[in-house]
Amino acid sequence: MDGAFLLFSSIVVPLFLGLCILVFSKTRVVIQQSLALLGFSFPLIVGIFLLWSFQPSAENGYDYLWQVDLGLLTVVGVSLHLGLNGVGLVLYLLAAVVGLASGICAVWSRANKLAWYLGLLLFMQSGLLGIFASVDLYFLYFFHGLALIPTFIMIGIWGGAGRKVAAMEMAVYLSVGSMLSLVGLIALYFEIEVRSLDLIEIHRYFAEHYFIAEWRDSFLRDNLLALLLFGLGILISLFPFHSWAPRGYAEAPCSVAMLHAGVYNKFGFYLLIQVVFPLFSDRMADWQGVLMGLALANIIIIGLVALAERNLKWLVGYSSVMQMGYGLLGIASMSVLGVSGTVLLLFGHGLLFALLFLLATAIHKRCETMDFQSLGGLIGKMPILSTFFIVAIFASIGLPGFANFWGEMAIFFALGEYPWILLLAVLGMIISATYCLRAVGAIFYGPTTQTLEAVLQRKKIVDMTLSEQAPAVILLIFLFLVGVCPSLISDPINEGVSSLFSKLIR
Amino acid sequence: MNLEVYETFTETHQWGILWVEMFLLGSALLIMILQHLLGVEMRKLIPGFATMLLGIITMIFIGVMLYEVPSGVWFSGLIAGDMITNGFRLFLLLTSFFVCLISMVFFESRSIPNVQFYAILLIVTACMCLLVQSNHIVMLFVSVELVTIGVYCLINNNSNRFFGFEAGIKYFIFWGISSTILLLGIVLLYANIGYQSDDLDIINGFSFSHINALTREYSEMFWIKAGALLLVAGLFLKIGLAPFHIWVPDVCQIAPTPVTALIELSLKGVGFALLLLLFRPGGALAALGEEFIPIFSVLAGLSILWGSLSGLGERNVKRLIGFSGIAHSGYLLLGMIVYINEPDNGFIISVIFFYLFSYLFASLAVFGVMVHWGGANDADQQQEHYVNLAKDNPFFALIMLTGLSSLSGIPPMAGFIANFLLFMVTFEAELWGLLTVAILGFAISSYYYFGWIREVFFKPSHAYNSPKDKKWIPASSLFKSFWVGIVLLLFLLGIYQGDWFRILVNSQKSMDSYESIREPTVLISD
Repeated sequence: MDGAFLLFSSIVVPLFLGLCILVFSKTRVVIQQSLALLGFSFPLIVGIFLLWSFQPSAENGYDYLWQVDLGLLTVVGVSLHLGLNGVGLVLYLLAAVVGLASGICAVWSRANKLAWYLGLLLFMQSGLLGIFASVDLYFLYFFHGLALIPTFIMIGIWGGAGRKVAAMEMAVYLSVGSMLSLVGLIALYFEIEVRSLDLIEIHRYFAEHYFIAEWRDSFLRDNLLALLLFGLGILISLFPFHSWAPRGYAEAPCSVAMLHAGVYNKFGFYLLIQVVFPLFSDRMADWQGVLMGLALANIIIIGLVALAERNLKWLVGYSSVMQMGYGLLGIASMSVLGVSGTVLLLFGHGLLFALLFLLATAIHKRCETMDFQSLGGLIGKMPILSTFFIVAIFASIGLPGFANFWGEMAIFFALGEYPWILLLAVLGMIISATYCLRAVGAIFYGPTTQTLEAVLQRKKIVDMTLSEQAPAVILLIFLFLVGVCPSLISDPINEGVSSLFSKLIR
Repeated sequence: MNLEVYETFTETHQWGILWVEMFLLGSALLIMILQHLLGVEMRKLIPGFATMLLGIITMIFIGVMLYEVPSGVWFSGLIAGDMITNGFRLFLLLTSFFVCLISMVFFESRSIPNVQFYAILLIVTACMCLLVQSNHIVMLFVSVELVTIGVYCLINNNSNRFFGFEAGIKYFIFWGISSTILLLGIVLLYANIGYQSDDLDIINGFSFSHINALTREYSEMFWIKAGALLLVAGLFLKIGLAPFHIWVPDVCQIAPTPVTALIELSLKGVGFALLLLLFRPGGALAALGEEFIPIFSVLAGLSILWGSLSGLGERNVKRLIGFSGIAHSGYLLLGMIVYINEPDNGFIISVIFFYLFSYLFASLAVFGVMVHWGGANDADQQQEHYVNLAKDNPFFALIMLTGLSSLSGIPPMAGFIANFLLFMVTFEAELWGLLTVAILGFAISSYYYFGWIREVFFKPSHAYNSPKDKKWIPASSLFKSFWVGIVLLLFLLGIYQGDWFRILVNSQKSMDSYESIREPTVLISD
């Protein structure tokens, strides 16, 4: 099979099936469910196949390239150009895995108006896969928008009590952030002579013209970098602009929170790694201090906020935002090791937080509360759920054997030159371990309150059902696989990042 | 006068060029006659008949456009046609067709005998088509006045008698003032340069090519600048750009929804068509374009910000649409500024066209839902009235979603490409300040578009009692298929543009070559 065709079809199939489900929303539920399952599992099969047969070309580090002109190629140099390099492949795989997990979760979720829920989730999945598969920056934003609208609607319809505010805040932050960074990219487009938004073309141009004096000193370039960092900073929920993220995750329905925290917020990082980092690496040196400071603010300040948080879902949300700080530290270290570590961390982070949101929702469904004060002693009542949760918490602390460990370790090694920053980063690990273990203590151990007993009595299902175990198992399998054998994905990452770098150091 | 003059007259009077306008006027007459001949029952078929006629004309027009676009100057220099004017004709025909379509729904539910409405609509369409083809100040003024009076009748054609009257008067006063200003500008121009034509004849003195040549020569004269500025100010008042926008929300709210659509789309299209014709190379005021850029920039920035900010607290959706329209005219003016900066760049015209058409389809999607959902009191449509839309009618909710997200310019709709390309050309022209304002406007306005989507889709957090008189009209399958077509078009244009941006880039070349035809020709030479 042609890899490029498979890549294209893996984006179109969920979209098409989603449309089918919406059109035939009056048919039997079983048909809708099986269509949705097909739509979610197809990308994962394709993703695994693509990982297995990945052979990047020596010239640009991409494989599975496929290009078609949709009317803008000759006038502004925009075309639908799909393809994967090492970084894109790993994040694409992440999207496929988390997509299947959240899909399974959604299919048996018994949500109100299931057909709409599944259809919109499939649209979102298609957009997320498209983000990491497109080589053309215009279509990157196109797919971003394709994912944004369903996310907004799904949070608003199926979300929790504060869903209206959460959905509005998220939509406005995300659209502003993406528009700011888009303007930065338009500026970049006019600065270089190739007049193309194709990443391969841009990288090729930079490989040839990198050391041109006027480009390096241009006034515009500094402002451009500032604009890009500002826009992308909003998208990756960097410190002063992070408030939309925990609220958005906490109020979202389970599957949306999984996809959003797991995959969607990797968009900003993806652009940082693919565009900002290789193209501005000399200027980044001036910004290194600022970036590291902001990353540390994410780690320490939001870590402390999480420490004070008493609501499980918000805690998971804050913890997810906090871990983004490590990713930014890896990029700010300006080394192949650090950036590769970031990609590895993003992979682990996506799987882990999808798992945590899944489990947190499961607890919420059973106990009807998220408050630590009213939870407690669940380990005796629901052993399987507790085991999953504690394993996930171990992964989140960064114990070896899980994917997150390798990402964090690579980043810490990359920070070897900056001992003080390393020290603060490790302090963050301690904070994170503290609130994680405290959460485990508060939820699973200790006495069970009377009201909780009453609630659990009332509910028939106590422990995790099969439809909840299946996605958790899928996510854990990948966490373990990468934790035990990181070279599965670190090889393509390494190739991808070094090909981004190698053009600059010649 | 001699034989030669008559020869020129007969040669240039090619009525075939105006077949669209004649066909429209003929249909209007036919409808008026039928109104008296047919019985009460048969009269109900007239709206459908009018819509069908418009549809047929639009189809034939598209077919003719695909075959050959006539370009040249006719009627002794009164009428000029090329790719651009025909593009605007298509825009106007399409708008009127859809306005007819939604007014069928609108008036049917109100059981008002509104046969004249369609006749007047057809006449107004014909006048607007003439307006965008005018190549002569007198032609321009006469068509503007015809449009003004026609639209005044349409606005007053309302079930809500009292408020309809108020909106009509407001509109009429503002358009009257704008016409006065326009006329003053014309007079100033003519007084200063018109007479400088050797033969003192009126036809030449008022033709665009003549004014173009003379403004180029005497561009330093204060009164010429003042005249041109007044002319443009008159046009801006009609479009409803920021400092002249006061009438827009009021009229938009009170006019019947189909007429609101007509005001928001056609009149805007006409205004920008005239700006384009006046300021393109060979246009009447081309020589002054550079000098007007600062003024235009202030107006564009003001409109974008005003439209975005005033919409924030607005709960009435018809007023909201009005504010959104002000912001959108600001964006379109931004495109015009870029075009005046670089008049040789045909790509910018295609971007302006793309913006207009994507705005057209997106607004139509929204208006289409509004006529079905508006209820008995059309002027009172709050955002809160849309809370049950997704639950009661998911089909309309999806159409609303597509339209609003395209209006707000987020991907993957056509509006995104329009915004993206507009930002791109603005960036290329290095208009940093305006670009900043445009992005700011985008960010602010995305709040109210998302707010409306929120009302449509999200469950109300408190118990909401829908007003008793709100009763939505079920859509027939014909209408459904039309709206599905529009939604698909919005998606399709967002992904695939095909030759859109190439046609006009090529046409620009042909326009340059036909510049020579536009040189002032002396018709009467005694």
